[in-house]
Amino acid sequence: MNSSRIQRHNIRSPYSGLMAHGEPWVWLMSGSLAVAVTMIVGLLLFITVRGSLHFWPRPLYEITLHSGETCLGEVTSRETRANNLLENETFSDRRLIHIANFELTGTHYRWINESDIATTQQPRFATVVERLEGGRFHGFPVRVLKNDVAVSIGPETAWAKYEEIAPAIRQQFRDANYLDKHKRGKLQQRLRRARLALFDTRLKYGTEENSFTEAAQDKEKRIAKEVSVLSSRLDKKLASLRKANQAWNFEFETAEGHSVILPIEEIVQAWQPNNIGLWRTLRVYGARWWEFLSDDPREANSAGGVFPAICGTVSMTLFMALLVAPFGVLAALYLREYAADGPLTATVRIAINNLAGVPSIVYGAFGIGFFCYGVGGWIDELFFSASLLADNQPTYGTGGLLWASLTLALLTLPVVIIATEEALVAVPNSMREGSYACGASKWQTIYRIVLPRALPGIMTGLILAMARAAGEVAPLMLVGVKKVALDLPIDTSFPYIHPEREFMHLAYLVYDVGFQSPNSQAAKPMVFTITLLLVTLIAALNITAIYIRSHLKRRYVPQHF
Amino acid sequence: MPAQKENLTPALPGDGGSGISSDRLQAVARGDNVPTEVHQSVFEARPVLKINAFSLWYGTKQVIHNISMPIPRNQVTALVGPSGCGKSTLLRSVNRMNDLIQNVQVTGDMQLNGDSIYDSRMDVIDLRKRMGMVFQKPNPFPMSIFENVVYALRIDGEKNRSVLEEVCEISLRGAALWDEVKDCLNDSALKLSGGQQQRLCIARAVAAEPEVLLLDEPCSALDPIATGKIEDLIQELRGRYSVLMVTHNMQQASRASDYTAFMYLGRLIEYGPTSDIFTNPVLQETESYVTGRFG
Repeated sequence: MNSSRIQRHNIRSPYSGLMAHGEPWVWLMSGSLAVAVTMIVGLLLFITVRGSLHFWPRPLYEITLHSGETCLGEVTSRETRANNLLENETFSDRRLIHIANFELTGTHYRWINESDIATTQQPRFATVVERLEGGRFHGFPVRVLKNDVAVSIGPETAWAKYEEIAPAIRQQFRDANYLDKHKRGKLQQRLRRARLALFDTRLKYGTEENSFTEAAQDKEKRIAKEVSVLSSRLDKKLASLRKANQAWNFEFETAEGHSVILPIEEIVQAWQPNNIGLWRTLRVYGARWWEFLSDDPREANSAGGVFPAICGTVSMTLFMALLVAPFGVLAALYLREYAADGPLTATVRIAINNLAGVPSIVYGAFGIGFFCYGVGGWIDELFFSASLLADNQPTYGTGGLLWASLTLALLTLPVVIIATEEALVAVPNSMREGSYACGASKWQTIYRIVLPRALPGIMTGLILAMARAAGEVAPLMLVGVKKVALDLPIDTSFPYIHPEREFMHLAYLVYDVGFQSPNSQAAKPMVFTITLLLVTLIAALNITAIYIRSHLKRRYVPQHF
Repeated sequence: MPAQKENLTPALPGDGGSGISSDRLQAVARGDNVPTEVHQSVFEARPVLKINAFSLWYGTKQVIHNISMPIPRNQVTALVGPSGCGKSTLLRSVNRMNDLIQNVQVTGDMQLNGDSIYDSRMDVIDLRKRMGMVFQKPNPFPMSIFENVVYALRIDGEKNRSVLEEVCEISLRGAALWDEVKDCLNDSALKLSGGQQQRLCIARAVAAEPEVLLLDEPCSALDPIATGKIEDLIQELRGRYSVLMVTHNMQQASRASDYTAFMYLGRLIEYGPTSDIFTNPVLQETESYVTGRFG
């Protein structure tokens, strides 16, 4: 009786109560979580806002300075700065104007002090032109020319005429380019095959004249002749297509009064931001996103689209998942189900855990040394010796999709092994015993009971691995990612999947555009859009995997009990 | 795992002059060898399984001490005794589930229909196929009800759909579950209630026509209604299958079994027809246990 009263008294003591109930710890925990969530959400929000606003058409301002200069551009940013930090501290505002017209001004951007500005206005017909080359152009439409003859004159009519004819011209331009790329590509491939056949024969029968090499030589000559005939025919066809297109020109006047003539087929997109309503603004916004998602990059990746990079990222990640999943699961199965517990197993397990902490660049170095130069060089010698001789260029003996995927598979292997092991441990022993009691062998138990039950956990490991691989840059720079690689690893030419090809990657593109670009101001917003795209892509891959996992969970893991 | 409970010695009666004899149990607790009381009628029944001088060690700790007993064919035999007396271990030794645990050593032998279970030539997988086992906690596999029932046939490579369906229906009827699940055979077995899951496990165990059915406290995780159903089921299985079951519940042993073996600290104390054990045991120790005066 007595002792129980003392105990109760102790529990109610106000001094031990707070610590005993752990309230301060709860505050700390919730505080830490709040900080973490704020940082993550803040980062995502920042990327989303900056990334998605890049393509929104912003108004063009015509700014006249006190000196009489004028310029036409978008306001990119504003800042306040001290004029002279040492003496009297006066501050002045200035703004960064995207003035474009690089060929005339020699710069894309210009800082203008607020105090120098005389007038600012938004001219109605100010036009933004996205060109194939030379960056943007800002100016006022003057007239549309066909074969140097003015067809329509005056800003309004010329613009209307441009909007009417531009889609057809653009389409024709794309068609011509497609023809040029594909038809010519096919012809060149044919020529190359013939040359390779010749080299093959020479390798097989010696370089001296004999009946085999002669036959191969004749064949090569014949095909070369055919190809040259076909390609000159193609040239003619293309020339006529292009001539019709090149007849159309658009004359502009810049804010400074220069007259500039732009070929219409080289105009990717043009809009008059001060002259369009919400609906048209949305259309321009959508069109620019579409171009970004579906087109090849232009201007050292700082403009145009990132389609090859999307394609490269997705195919590499999926390829990596295909490689790492069976490999990691088998290794984990052996380690957990078959290997006897002992110092050796423990050492292997520790080694795998440590492998997860090796800097990724080390994997890259290993990948280029072992996969590219070692295995790839060996494959080249065995199967591609003719092409090695003919082009003096390696096929597999250099970076490529296959080697990059393998390197990243190696990099993410520890994650998959550890996750799989944990999933295997989590399978209740009662299920295994039930299976053994039914007369199942160990292997039957594993693949009929244990693996299905562990599958959701294995998927978790794979999701983590894919997220890590899709965002990895350092090793990829060594084993196959290139600044520009327009030939996709998966395309319509035989054999459709080209694991030896070098490819583009979104995460590398962030690095390249953001930090290697000659036009860093123009590239900056692209970094945000590419990052946004990469995050979205990884999220999409993960959501797909999570959906599959929840489906598996419903099937294989009890929901209650 | 029974091995971990081993050092718990149940409280013994006999203190305070209650007049109950516990000499034998005290002798067992001291580690002495004691004679086993096996009723003559046990030997008259035709045995399906014979346990001969069987002993088992977990590492250096002896868990089963030299047990010999025949298990009558097509009858229900219950193993009773306080926790840690080795009854589950003995049951798991019958289909060699103890092989899965490291550091287990056995001496003696068991014979299933004349085949030596612990013979080095005996294939343990074949052996387990000749027996069915049901565990304390229902352990349905993560697959459909149908696949659960025909699991043993599947691993034998049976692919004929009509054979599988027939076996499934017979087994589920045998386990008194058919009417409840016949419309949802392709649903996940994990969606069934605990009692249904346990009956499903019984159906799975009988699907391969076992020579012996081993039940390891099949009702300990179930509520009274599900327990009643399982007990009724055990009654129905009698005559068709030889059942060896472990139970903690004296009423269950008296209701559901034909023979009862009382074990204590790894030794068989008394073994005989259930009616004799519960109403007219040879030993007073047995009487005081089955009437609930200790243990």
